[in-house]
Amino acid sequence: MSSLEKEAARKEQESILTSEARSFWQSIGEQASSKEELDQQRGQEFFKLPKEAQPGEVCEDLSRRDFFKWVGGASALFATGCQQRPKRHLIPYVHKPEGLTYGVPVWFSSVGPQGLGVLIKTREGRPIKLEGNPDHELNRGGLDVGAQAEMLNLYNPQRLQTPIDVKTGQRLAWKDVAVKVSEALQSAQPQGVRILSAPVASPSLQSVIDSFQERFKAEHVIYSASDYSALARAYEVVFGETKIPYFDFSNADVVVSVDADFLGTWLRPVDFTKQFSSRRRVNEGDLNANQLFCFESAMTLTGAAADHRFAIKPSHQLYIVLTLIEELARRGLRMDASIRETSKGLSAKKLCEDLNLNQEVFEKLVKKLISSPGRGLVVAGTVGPQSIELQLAVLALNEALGAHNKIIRLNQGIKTASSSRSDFDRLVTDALAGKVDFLLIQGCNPAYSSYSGDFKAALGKIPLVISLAYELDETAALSHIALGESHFLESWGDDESVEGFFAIQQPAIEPLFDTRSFGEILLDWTGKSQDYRLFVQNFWRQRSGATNFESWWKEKLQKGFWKETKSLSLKPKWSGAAALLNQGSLKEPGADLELVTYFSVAMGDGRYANNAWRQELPDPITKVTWSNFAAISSSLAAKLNLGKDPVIKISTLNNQIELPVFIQPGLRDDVVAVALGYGREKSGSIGQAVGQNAYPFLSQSASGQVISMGMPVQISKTNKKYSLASTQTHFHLHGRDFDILQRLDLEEFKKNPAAAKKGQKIDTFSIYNEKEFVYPGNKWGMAIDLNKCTGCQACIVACYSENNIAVVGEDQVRKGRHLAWLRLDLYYSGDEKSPEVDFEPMLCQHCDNAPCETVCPVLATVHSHDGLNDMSYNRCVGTRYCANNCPYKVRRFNYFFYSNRLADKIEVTDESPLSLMLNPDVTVRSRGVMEKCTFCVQRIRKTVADLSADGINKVPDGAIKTACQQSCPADAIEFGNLNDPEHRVTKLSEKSQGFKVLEVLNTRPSISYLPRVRNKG
Amino acid sequence: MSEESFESKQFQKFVLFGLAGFVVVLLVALYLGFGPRWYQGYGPVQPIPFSHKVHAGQYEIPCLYCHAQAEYAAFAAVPGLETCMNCHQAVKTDSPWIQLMQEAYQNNEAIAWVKVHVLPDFVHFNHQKHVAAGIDCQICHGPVEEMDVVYQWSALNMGWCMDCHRSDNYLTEQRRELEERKWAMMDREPPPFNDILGHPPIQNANVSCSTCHY
Repeated sequence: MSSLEKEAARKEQESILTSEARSFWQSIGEQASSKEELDQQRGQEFFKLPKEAQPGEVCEDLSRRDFFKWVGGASALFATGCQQRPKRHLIPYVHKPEGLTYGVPVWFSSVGPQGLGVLIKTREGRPIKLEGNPDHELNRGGLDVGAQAEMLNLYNPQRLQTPIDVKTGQRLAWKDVAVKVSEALQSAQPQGVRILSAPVASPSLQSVIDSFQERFKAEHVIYSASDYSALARAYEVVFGETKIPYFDFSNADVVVSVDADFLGTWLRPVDFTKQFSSRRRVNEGDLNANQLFCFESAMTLTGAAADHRFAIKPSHQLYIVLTLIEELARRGLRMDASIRETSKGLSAKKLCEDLNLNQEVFEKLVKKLISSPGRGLVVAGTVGPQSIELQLAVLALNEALGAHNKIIRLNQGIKTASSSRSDFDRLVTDALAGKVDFLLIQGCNPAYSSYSGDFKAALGKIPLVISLAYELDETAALSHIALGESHFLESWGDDESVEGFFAIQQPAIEPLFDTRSFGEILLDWTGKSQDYRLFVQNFWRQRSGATNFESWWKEKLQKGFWKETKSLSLKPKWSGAAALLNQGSLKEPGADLELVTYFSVAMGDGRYANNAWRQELPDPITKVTWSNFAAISSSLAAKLNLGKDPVIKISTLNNQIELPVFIQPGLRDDVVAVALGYGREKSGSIGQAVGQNAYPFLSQSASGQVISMGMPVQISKTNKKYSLASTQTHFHLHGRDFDILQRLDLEEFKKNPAAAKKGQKIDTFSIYNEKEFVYPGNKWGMAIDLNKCTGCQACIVACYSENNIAVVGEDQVRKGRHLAWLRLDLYYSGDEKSPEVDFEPMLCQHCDNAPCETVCPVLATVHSHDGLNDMSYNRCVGTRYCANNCPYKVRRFNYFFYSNRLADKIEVTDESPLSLMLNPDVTVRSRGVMEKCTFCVQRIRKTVADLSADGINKVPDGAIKTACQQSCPADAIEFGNLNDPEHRVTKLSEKSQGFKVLEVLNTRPSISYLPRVRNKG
Repeated sequence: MSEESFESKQFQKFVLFGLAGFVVVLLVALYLGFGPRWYQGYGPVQPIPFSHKVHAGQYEIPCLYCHAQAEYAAFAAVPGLETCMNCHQAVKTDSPWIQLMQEAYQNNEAIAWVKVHVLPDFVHFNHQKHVAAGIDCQICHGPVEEMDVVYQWSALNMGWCMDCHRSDNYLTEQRRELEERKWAMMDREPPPFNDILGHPPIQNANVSCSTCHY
């Protein structure tokens, strides 16, 4: 290249780098800012010194004399400290368990919460990592945030460790508890014994409960903070069976969601994401992509994944579905006459005018549904203001669309979602009337999550309340005796979360503390005390009827899953549905400000608030950690004239809370969205006093369904300030968004897959001699399909678990010191009222021309022989030059001994159970050390060593899976050897539409991204 | 000290010498702390005086009989008491040490052996790869068959690792020494070197940081 050409190339690069064409924005502030303001913000990208930010917090002013004193003292100590290292011991097993090799993991299959099939990785008897079981036909290898975070729940030192007498705090023995219980059970009045538990998915546990009920004439009430009873009720009315059917999104071409966040928190998000993403394989050549239309009040993962999203408010739900029925029926879809009656007079035009929706897109949706018979599906949220009517209308619509038995599986009821608030209410009334003598509570926390105060009063009226709980939560603290519950990794059981899909729950460790499982204590109290493993075995010996039970049992344990589905054909009867629908006649859409409460992906219903991984996990949409907030639109904020970091008061007639505000694009101006699961009063030191409890806003419909959306509220300004710890604006785009993320429409894609590539790659000069670097053997690389990624963040928690990543705590997150090696960047585009949301997993790109490597003064980060950007912690001296020079901002610095204190709240010593959780294959980083994604190099090294010991030098495709890839329920991540043309990652990387982030910088990353393709047609 | 005194020659000298002294102390400390051969020769007293000289030397029990997993795992590991009891149920049962061990075995108590070869936590050494590459145990662990009390033969610091990983023929040299030692033990002349090394060890070791550090 001549010097002129070089100069021209440099200029072009420069002009692209400084271009002002902004298509993406990360926050409202950024979108609205002018060029000058943006330039000013750029200067403020780097955080102020902590000393300036908060005087006196980190270190007081140090005088020169003191400085020398410390230096002298430290060097003297250092010199005298050099002595023979402390003796370390090698303590081998006396009898080594069969199949165990020191340093080699042993895997067990089991089943986790929500019936997700898991494989448990254990090292020397300690579970250290959960992975999805690919043989389990529900989650097919995917796991979610909750399941990944279970590891921290197991080793949490603040678990309830023994039975205790709550009032005195005294430790009790299990046998004393049993004596007390049996006395209480004997003397209880008829119908006076009650069990209140979470939904039971285990057949063997159900049999124990049945025999307990029979023996003591006990009543079993199921309680859950999430409520799907409207769905179950609708199926009862129409099909005569109370059940929540299973949805198979892989068979649906057109999906309509009305406030059902099925990719985030609704029913079985892992299964649904797996199925949904299997229909978004556009980048792999399958152009028959599904299409998602989403009507939603809050901004959720489902809305982000949608091809068309409509912002609504909860009271619009029924109106939309009825209009859809009317429009479809008018176009010839066969609909039951009595149902049709209820939607008379509605039209798309009226709806779109009333609610200010895009009529063109709505008409498109109607056309799509008509033209895909048997391939359309409508799902709707179950906690809106008119949930029963809504579900009945949706059911009628799905029946007319032919979704039943094709997409909606009636023979596979979801058991984990069954609960009944009317039973719960009766329990409370009975208790208040003194009719309950004994109450056993397991797996739920109504003192926190039920909205009326009656439950707490009712507990005071019961002579003996026993709680079986993980921690001394709000409910356990109000009972007489609290018992420690064993974790699922510590106890035997089985699972049938979805009818016909079975798995054995196999423990991987003896109970760490003096705890027992629900089944064990019931078995004990029924007087049939026996080893619970034998009990489960005997249960299946009878139930399976296998002639050779031993081999049957072993096979099920090994595979971790089996299936016995029965077919079920039900005929719909519409009379009841029509009657109910007529009763709940459609209300005129009002102008009230409505409250939407929702379960956040990170916190769920709040029962695991004491889990630091969950607390520090950014909310997928807002990226806020460690708190909930009130999400409102920017125009509503402007109306209230809110300043910086405002706190608002949200009030209804019977409750009010104050919450910091988050300005959320894509919300209507008459909606306030607040996450549930925060504001725990009694939890561990991590979960307590984080955010505010929004459960008291909830109410109940006349037929007993929870209403957690659409409550009319008032909001008002307060004088308080609260700075949310959000990671969304930790880094600045610097106007480089042209090259960050590529997206296009399916129609464009069909014509030219590479259409989103703006301009060709600039053939620029390089400071590297690129011919010098060759990778003769393996060259590890990754391909990430942005079209499949739904932003669920399971990968982030999987990475925390695999790589011993420390939790830093809210204050440090605010200062930009979040340690996650993998983050999910979120970019908005379009206008603020109806933005499009795109996710981009961002991790170390393992650049061939890595900018970080050239600036490290001590060569702590250099390239490996197989294309990895190595980071050797023990060599790092903490200059942080590398992080400053990284254009992707994926390097993380340990400012303090984060690994010694969990979220700066729980001490992690060698004796702490938290130390047992660490992956021994990954170094625990200390203070002053830079860290970043390693492509799970420990897995690479182990697999390659194992293969080469067997004489295999070619690593087969799929032999190495990174932690994020394994956990991904959307299968969006591929990893493998870029030098091997057979590997899927190579094939994907070579696709013409594949792109590298910030390719113009010529860093040559090892990660290829495949564009987001929206099916708008 | 007044404001001006900071600029005085004397003060500047004081700072200069102070810093120089600090650097010297630091260097000495660093040498002592991370010096090349600090732990070489470390052979602590074990709770039971197990002699490798007797077992591996005199009775020629193969290394892998006890340290079996060195072939297929990162750690060679110390065997459990049940491995000892394979022989010592019957052999030398009159020794008080053996009786102590039998007692421990019957009480299901483990022996807390003192670790001799200690690598820092940020180093991930893999025995499996080295055994698979055909490297004899003695190349790193020295003449264990002659040791009554096992001690650390090699430096086990990074420079020592790199000597092998970087060189093309270092391993061959090491092996030659080892073979000569073996034949000398048998009081015999070694055959021509190339005859012994029918299968020279594979040496394609790489020197990436993440080979050992992650």
